[in-house]
Amino acid sequence: MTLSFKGYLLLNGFLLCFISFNNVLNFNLIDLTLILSILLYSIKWNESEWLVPFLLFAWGIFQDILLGMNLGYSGSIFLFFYVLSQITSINGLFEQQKIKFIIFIIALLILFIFKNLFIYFNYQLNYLSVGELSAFLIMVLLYPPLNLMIIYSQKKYEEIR
Amino acid sequence: MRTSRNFYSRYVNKNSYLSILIPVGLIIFSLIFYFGRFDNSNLSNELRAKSINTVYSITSIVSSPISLIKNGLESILEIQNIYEENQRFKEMQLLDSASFQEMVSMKLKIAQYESLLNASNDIEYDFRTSRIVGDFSNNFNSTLIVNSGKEENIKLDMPVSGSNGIIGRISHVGERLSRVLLISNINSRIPVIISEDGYHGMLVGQGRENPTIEYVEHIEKISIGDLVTTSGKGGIFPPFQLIGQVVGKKSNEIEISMFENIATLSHVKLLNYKLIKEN
Repeated sequence: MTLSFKGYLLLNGFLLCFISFNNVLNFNLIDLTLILSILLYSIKWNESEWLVPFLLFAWGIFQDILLGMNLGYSGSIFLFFYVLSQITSINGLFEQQKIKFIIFIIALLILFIFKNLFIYFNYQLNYLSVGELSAFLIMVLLYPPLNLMIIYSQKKYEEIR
Repeated sequence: MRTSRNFYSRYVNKNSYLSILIPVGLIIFSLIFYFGRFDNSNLSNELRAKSINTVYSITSIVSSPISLIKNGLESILEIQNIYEENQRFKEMQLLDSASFQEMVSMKLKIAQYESLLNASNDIEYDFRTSRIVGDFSNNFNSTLIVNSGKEENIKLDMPVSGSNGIIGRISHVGERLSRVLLISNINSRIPVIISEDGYHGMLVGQGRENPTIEYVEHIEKISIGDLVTTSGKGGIFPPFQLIGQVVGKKSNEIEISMFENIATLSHVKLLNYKLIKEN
C-alpha cells in the first residue's frame, strides 16, 4: 500500500484512536496491542514506505508511556508483525491466506513463549495460566475476521485512489 | 544455482532488503531499550512523569466518545442494581451496627492497653481522595492513573488504598496526574504480616488477580482465611493496613485474594502518613 499524505494522516489517526482505546477498554482476555498487531500484519505495505517503521516505533513509545510499560515493549511487537508482513509480501505469500494464517500463529506462539520465558527468568514467576492461554486462542480466532476486514478496506482504498 | 539466484534477485531488490532491515534494526533497538531498562533512571522517570500529562490528555480526548457510551451503559446497569443493593443493605444494617459496636469497644480496649504498656501511637494519617482516570490493570504491568499530582502535593511512593484495603503505591508523579503501581504488578514487592500471630512474608505481584506471599516463616501454621496486612517494614506502607486474606497454600508460597476489587473502584485514597517523633 503506497501512502499519500492523506494516507499517512489516516494511518496516524487510526493508530492514535486505537492506542487511545486502552484508556476505556480494559479486558483481561483481549490484548489491544496484539489486535493492532494483527491489523499491521494484515496490511500489504509498500516496500519503499520507510517512514512507517519509524512511525510504528514512535507510536509504540507513546503507548508505553500511556500504559506505564518499559519503553520499547509495544514498539517491538508492532514492528515484529510489520516485518512479518513485509517478509510474506516479498516472498509472494501475501495472497496465500492459509500460509499467512499459519505464519501468524507461529509468530504469535514465538511472542507468547518469549514473553513467558522473559517473565520466568527475569522475575522467577510462572506467568503461564489458563487466562494467558485463552488470550492466545482469542487472538488466533480474531485473526480471520480482522484480516478479511483489512483486505476489504485496502481494496476499497486502492479503488478510491 | 545461477538461475535461481537471478530469479530471486529479480524479486528481492534493494528496496525489499531495506524494508526489512530498517524495522529489524528498530526492533533490536527497542529490545535493547526494553531489556536494558534505561528508562528506570531518574532522568527518564522525570521525563515519563512529565509526558504522561500530555499523552493522557490527547488519548482521553480521542477516546471520549467511547468513554461516554461506556459510562452511560455502566450507569444503566448500576440503576438496575440499586433496588437489589438497597434490600441487601437493609438486611446488613443490623449486622453492621453490631460489628461497629464491637469495633468501637475493641478500639477502646486497644487504647487502654497501649496506655497501660506506655506504648506510643507513633503514626499520623492524612489522605487525599483521587479519581481513577486510567485503568491499565489488565496486563502484567498493571497500573492506574489518578487525577492528582505535584499540584496536590502528591509524592512518590505514597500508599494507595480503596475503601477495603491497600491496592498499591504511587510510582510516578506528574503535574496533575500520578501513576499507581498496583499490588498485582509484576514489579510489586510489599512486606506483609499474616494471621493474628504475625508471621512475616513478602507479597509478590503475579501480573494477574491474586498475588502470592513468598519467604514466609512457619508456613505450616498459616491457614486458609487468615488476614494479610502490611508490616510497615521498608517504610513505604504504614503497618496493619488490610490487604486481603489467604485463599491457597503451597509448600513455599501462599496465594491471597485482595479485599479490594480494582475493576469496581472509581476513587482511591492516597495516604500521607508520617511517624510522630517522640519528645
